[in-house]
Amino acid sequence: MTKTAEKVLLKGNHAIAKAAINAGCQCYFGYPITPQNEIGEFLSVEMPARGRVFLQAESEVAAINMLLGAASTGTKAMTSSSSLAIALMQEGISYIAADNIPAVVVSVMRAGPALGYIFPSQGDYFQTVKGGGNGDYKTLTLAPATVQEMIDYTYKAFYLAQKYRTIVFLLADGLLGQMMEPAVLYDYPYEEIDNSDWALDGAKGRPGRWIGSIHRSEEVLEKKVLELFKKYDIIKQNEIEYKTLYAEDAEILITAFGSVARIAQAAVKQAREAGLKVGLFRPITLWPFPEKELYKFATGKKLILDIEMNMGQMLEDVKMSVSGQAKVEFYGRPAGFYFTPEELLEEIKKQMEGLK
Amino acid sequence: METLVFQKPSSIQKDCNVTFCPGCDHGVAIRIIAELLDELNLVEKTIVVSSIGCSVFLNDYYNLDIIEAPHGRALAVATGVKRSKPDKFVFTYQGDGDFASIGLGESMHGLSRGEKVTAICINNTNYGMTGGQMAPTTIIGQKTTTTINGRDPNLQGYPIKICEMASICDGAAFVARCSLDSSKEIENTKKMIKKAFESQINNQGASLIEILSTCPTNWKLSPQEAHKRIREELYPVFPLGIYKDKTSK
Amino acid sequence: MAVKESSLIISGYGGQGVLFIGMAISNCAMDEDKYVTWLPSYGAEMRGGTANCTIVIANEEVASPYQQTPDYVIALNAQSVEKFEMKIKPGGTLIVNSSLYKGHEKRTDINYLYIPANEIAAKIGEIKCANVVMLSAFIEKTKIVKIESLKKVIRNIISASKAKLLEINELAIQKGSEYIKLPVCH
Ligand SMILES: Cc1ncc(C[n+]2csc(CCOP(=O)(O)OP(=O)(O)O)c2C)c(N)n1
Repeated sequence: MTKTAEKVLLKGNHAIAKAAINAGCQCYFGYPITPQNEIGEFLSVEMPARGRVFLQAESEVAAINMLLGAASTGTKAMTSSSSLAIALMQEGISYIAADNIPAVVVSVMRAGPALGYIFPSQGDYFQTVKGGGNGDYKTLTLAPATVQEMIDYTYKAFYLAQKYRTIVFLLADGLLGQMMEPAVLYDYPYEEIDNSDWALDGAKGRPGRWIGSIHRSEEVLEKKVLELFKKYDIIKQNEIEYKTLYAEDAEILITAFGSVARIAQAAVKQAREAGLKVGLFRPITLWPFPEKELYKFATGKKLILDIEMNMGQMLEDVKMSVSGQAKVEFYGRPAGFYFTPEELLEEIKKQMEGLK
Repeated sequence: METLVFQKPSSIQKDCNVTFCPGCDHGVAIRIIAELLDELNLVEKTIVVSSIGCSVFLNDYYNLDIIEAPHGRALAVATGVKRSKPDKFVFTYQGDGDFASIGLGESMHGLSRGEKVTAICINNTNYGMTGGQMAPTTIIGQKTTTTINGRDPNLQGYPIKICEMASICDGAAFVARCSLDSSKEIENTKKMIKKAFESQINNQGASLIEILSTCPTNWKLSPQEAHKRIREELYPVFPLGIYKDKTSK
Repeated sequence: MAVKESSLIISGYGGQGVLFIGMAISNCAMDEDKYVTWLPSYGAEMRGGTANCTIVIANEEVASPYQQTPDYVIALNAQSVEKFEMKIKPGGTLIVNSSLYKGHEKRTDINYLYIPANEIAAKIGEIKCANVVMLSAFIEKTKIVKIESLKKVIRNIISASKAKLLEINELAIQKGSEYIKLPVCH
């Protein structure tokens, strides 16, 4: 089934779907929305062909709750959607988080607010990282920047979901979902996690198990939330991921995530060729955000320039991490206007001028 | 038969601490389901989907594997459970608000898809847990905390007929409405649930049992009066009977 | 190593095989160990009857798969010429399907290349091959990838069971590239 180490031209959405199959995803539930339809269309053929489940739900509300059901039995399962439709899933996401069960949600962002349009966007950083569901919970969020990384981080999403019994978001955008790029579809590289001590499979020879979020005493509810956050602390210690380019000696440090980071990377290279001391800091886990790491790199810089395809969302985490150690500026556009490296270089030069 | 009534079903929690109001029919429904799980030898393969409403604390009563569904989403959660574990026995336990108001979409789609699960819907014609507000099943003229002068069809429209609606879903194998207002009806309800469970065991499709139940606290009636109300006021609006039966074919 | 990047937009009616030749040249680039991205216009934009895709080929990881000002545009119909003629980078090239476009040149700072692709394809006996004729002419002219790579890619895509189709496509590649070599054509 899996071709090892052979490069193929792959569409981002197909890369996610293929990686999900390789990762052992047994159930997919989803509702159509552009720009992520290729995931469901592909899995509607390939999952049944392997005796696995593809189900087109009647709504995103239903889809996330089907995911909740499948996750409760310890089954590797996922859904995928976009922006306004992820909004409909937020209640279920909060339940999955509270229940300590593993689930993967793929979010291929489009431009909002509301219906907006199908253009690529990064307008759902808040929605994903800060959560639209109720209560104290976190969503582990991975932000790929290439089609290859769509595979890498889909694998990782399934692994981390199982490992920490938590909800994991793969946060991409319309550009990454729709584009094709050569990538290698290798075998799922992670170990399988035993879930026999918590999953529901009928109480055979053991007491019944209850997976639920309602707790009638303040003590118990508080204990549950504190336990959840103990788990989050461990995730913070172990799983923070980021990449840098020329970040050490830079005078201006750019922060960008996802597809914007790849354009920023080209702009940084062009800037270096022009003799400008510019570097890049790219968070890959958006939660947990690489706070300490960014703090370290930001200290002593003349300027941090945060670039996003929105009106400034990750910006808040950047500012919090930088904690006043450097000036922070923002450059962004909200509606699918894609940056070019030249445009970013222009902005970098403008900011450099301003520093003098 | 006699012995069964006094023996505690194996899936009922040992130190089961009843939190339902006196005279509420939830407890009866929970018990007869537990008896059937024993009779049909299902205890060790059952996964229950609990819902949000008075039945949210199902784990207080059942020593079974239970997953809590968000309000209204029980059929969707049950779909995920059953699709991921097709060899398990799956039933939902929901209120009428859960099943037919906020969850109507999930309910109708789950039945139409013919998910091999059983839905038990406790119809007490109001929102019990939140304090007796109007439900989709509140009958014309019925006073609730949000229809203090009685449900007025010009303002709040008409009650939803759950079984009648469910019966047009092609994926449903067995649909019946029953009541717990007398020992005869309790016996019959048990028979109906058994048929529904068997239809799931035989992979015949989705099944739904709507149970007319009391809510003495919010109806502000004694348990006896409440059962009388079911017979006198609810039967005419929600006739008992089998609404769909594809199991013999 | 300086970054060398070429961007190409291919545009035409839905059904002219725009996305297909876009994927074909992307595969050529991949086979030649170049970095490449392919990005389609998607969603409602496709419903107007036109389709386009953007291909970026580079010697390093492609920064932006989206290009507002491409180096090259292959326009398979008149609408596509109108849509993209003004967006091409100065010094860039517009490759026009002259079978379907007879308009005037609006710019002096870009090159124009006219290929009567429908007529060439019709002569081969398969009008649907106009897209491959256009692509082959483009490759022959720019040498962005090798024409040999295209032959190989087409052979891989069209399964052996469709020998006739493969033959016609190979003929289209030949005629398309030959047309560029003709001294009179441009
Ligand atoms: C999304 C959501 N909305 C509202 C509520 C509040 N709520 C809890 S139970 C309930 C009504 C339950 O009524 P019903 O389903 O008829 O069951 P009963 O309590 O009468 O048994 C409501 C509205 C909730 N928990 N979740």
